[in-house]
Amino acid sequence: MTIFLLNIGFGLVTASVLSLLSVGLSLQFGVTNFVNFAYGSYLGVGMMLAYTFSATLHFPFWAAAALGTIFTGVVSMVIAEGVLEPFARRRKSLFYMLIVTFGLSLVLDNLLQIFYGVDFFQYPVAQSSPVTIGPFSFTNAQLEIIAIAVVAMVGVHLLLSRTRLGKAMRAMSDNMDLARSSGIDTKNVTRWTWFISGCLAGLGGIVLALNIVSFQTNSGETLLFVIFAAVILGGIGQTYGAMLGALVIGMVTEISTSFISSAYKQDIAFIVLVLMLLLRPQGLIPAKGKA
Amino acid sequence: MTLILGYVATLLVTFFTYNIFVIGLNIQFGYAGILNFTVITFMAFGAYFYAVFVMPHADNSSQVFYILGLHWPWPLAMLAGIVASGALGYLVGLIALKRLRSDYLAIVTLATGTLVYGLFGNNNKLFDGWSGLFNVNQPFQSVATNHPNEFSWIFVVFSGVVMLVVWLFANRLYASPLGRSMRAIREDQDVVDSFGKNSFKVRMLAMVIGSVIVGIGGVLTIQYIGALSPAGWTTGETFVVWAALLVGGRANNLGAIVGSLLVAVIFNEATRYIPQVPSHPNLIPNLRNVIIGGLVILSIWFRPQGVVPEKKASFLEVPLVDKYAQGFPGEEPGGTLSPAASEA
Amino acid sequence: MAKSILEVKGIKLAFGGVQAIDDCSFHIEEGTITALIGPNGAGKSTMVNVISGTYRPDEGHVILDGKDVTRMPNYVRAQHGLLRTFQISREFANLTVLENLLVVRQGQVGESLFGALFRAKRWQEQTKELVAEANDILNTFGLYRLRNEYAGNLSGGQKRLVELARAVMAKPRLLLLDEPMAGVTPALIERLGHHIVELNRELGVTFVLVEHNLDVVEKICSRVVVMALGKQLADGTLAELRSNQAVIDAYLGGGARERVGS
Ligand SMILES: Nc1ncnc2c1ncn2[C@@H]1O[C@H](COP(=O)(O)OP(=O)(O)OP(=O)(O)O)[C@@H](O)[C@H]1O
Ligand SMILES: [Mg+2]
Repeated sequence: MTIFLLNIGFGLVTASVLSLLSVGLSLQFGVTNFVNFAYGSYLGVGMMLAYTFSATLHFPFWAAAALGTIFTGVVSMVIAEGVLEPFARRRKSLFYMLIVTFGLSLVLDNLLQIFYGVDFFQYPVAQSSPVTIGPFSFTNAQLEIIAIAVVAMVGVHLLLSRTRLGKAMRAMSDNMDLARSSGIDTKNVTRWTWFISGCLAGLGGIVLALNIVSFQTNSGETLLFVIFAAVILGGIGQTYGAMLGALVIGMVTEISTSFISSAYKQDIAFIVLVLMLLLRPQGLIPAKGKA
Repeated sequence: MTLILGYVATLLVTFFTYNIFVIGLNIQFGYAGILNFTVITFMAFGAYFYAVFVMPHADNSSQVFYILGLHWPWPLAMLAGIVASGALGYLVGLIALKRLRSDYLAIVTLATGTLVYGLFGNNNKLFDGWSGLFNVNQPFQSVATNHPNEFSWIFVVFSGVVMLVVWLFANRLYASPLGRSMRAIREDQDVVDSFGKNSFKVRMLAMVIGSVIVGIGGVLTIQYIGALSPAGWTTGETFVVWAALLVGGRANNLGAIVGSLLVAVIFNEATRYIPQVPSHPNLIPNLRNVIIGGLVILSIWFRPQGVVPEKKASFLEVPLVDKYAQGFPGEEPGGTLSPAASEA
Repeated sequence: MAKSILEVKGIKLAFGGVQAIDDCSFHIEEGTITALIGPNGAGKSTMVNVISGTYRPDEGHVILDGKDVTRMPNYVRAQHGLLRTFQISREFANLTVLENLLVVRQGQVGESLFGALFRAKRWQEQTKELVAEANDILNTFGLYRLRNEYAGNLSGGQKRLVELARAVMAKPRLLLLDEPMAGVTPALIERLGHHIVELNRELGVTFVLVEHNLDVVEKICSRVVVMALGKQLADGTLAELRSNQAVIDAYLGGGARERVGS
């Protein structure tokens, strides 16, 4: 029983990491209407940049994390402007957009390895012993991860509901043509969406690295389909759905370790993904006209 | 001389097997528009299952573990490998070929690849984990005993024949009404459905046929080398196949051949002999992947139809008297028909 | 009275908050050409999608030849001879015009894997026959010269023709045409109308024609079903409908009246 409760705690941490990542992917998908298969590589970019800023350049960790986050957003925006949007403007079919992002992932992953090698890294932060809160037990880092995720989710909510940018993003997500004809500067909104999506990916990568403590450039790579699982679970392009999806996948995968080896965590996510696709492909919160 | 002959044989076998991979992917993507982002997993399935069917029972004292170990004759084991790979294609298809966006299929293939890779690598009771399988029984051993190159050259002929069969098969499929249905589905699946064809079935067929063909290539690979470990089927390998198809030209099997020659043989071989950088043992493979990824992107930008574009269908036909060749004569009561009707 | 080939009963379908079809019923008699008209957004295309099985209605039944097909997938309905065209042309862009036609004929020998591989002689022969047949159809639609063009390279008007020629090639018994004349030159409209009548008379194809051009409707349709706001508003001959106040208010009124010219 205690193990079970402990795992619920870990589930909360994993869900926090995933929520950043799935919301970032989902926001971008909603606006641009294609899946970015290079998204997993953006995690690596964020995680490694934060390492460079903190370990090599000796910035305080919070500053390094902030810089890593923002730089990943910039990378995402630059790639979108330089590569993806030109392809989209040429009206390449969805097929080709997907292959291009898939190709990008190979390029980025290998560039990261060229710069950082295949070693394991650790952020220069003190490892605290776990604190016990009720039945749960968290390290300081894990508590921070949860806090960061909560703040970020509130931030995304405020962005979408209170700001002009956020409202424009939602409008474009619902109906691109309508949004364009009602005078939204879709190009600009798209650019910002890529930036925000990249920031969330970078931040997600950093908190992932904090959580697993010791990481490689490609530690985020295999997480890509777990993120997809959360996004599809929530209903593709549905931001709040993605949060819900992250919570469900995070909880389910961690709780499953009470019963089976944790080596199969990802397999559980895969099973959820498959069940979802077979039974309710439109997601828990279906989006109009998508899927 | 012996060395060179052996090398040439290896090049030819590589060329033939890559042709087979690319033709397999071509049937999935070029014909039917199925995005398979884990081609190489099907190769591994074919290879591994061939291995565990053909090898004798695992000798546990040597710390090598694998399932089955049935010691079947190699042709039967080959069949088993191919069936296994086709079955994986069928399973993936069952999940992802329902009427879903093509993103979903791509995601499912990617997820399958990640999963199988982790499962086969981490679990050393299945296929000996990360160290992989070695000393896999090779065919023709009883014939080729005299000279090290003899096996290689027998295998060149064997893989060449297999490739030829696959090639003829793929071309017949392309020209057939079934192939035409596949290509129509690639263009617009809903429309094909609304004309009374079960597009799910046709796509599933393309998925399974493609998987089977890639599986054949996998069996050939492990037969020739006699070993395979997960390091031999990373995502980068899937890209080599994609790059070959896109550079060569999708939906054209000649393109598949040109592509595998350019990418899988010439590019891969040319980069093999660049000396290692001692401080960066992975630098060269990393750079190679960067270039392959870049190649995929650039070829879609500059020449999406590839070096050898899809051939326009032409039919032997009896010439028809084109009564409207001069525009439309006003043959209808009250009709004032003008050539403007076909504003070309 | 002729027998109904198609009947829709109490169809309802909503997209999110939009009630696209709201309890709509009508029937189509075999061997007729019926127009389905109504203002923009009336739910006509949605109805075509429901009849052809692209959408499944929230409520109601689609009855084909007296059989309830509401839960039957679209490709099975098509195998029963119920075919449709799309309001926005959906040609197979990277297939030639000729191939666009060849692909839709059902029951070809080479459509199964076994047939494709082992009965090549047979399907090659069959294809030859189909090519001749397709060329004939293309010729009637003035597309013969374009038969070896990729369909994606044609002009908008030509694509409409391919859409129609393709449907003819598929040998329908009941053909739903969603605005086949939109974007087609006036001269050609007349030709198309003529072909529709010909197919109807000679092969007995039943047509349901979604059309805004009331001149065409007047010329070729024996009966008109009017839809508005997702409901069936009226049906009858166009002349009858012209004196129907509800129809005038909903549809024929305002600018549309000029177009009718009455
Ligand atoms: N896929 C869809 N998702 C959401 N709303 C839809 C969808 N299809 C149709 N609608 C809505 O349903 C209503 C009926 O649309 P429909 O296309 O059937 O009209 P129509 O009679 O064919 O109009 P038109 O003459 O413009 O073609 C419209 O309000 C439309 O916006
Ligand atoms: Mg319409």
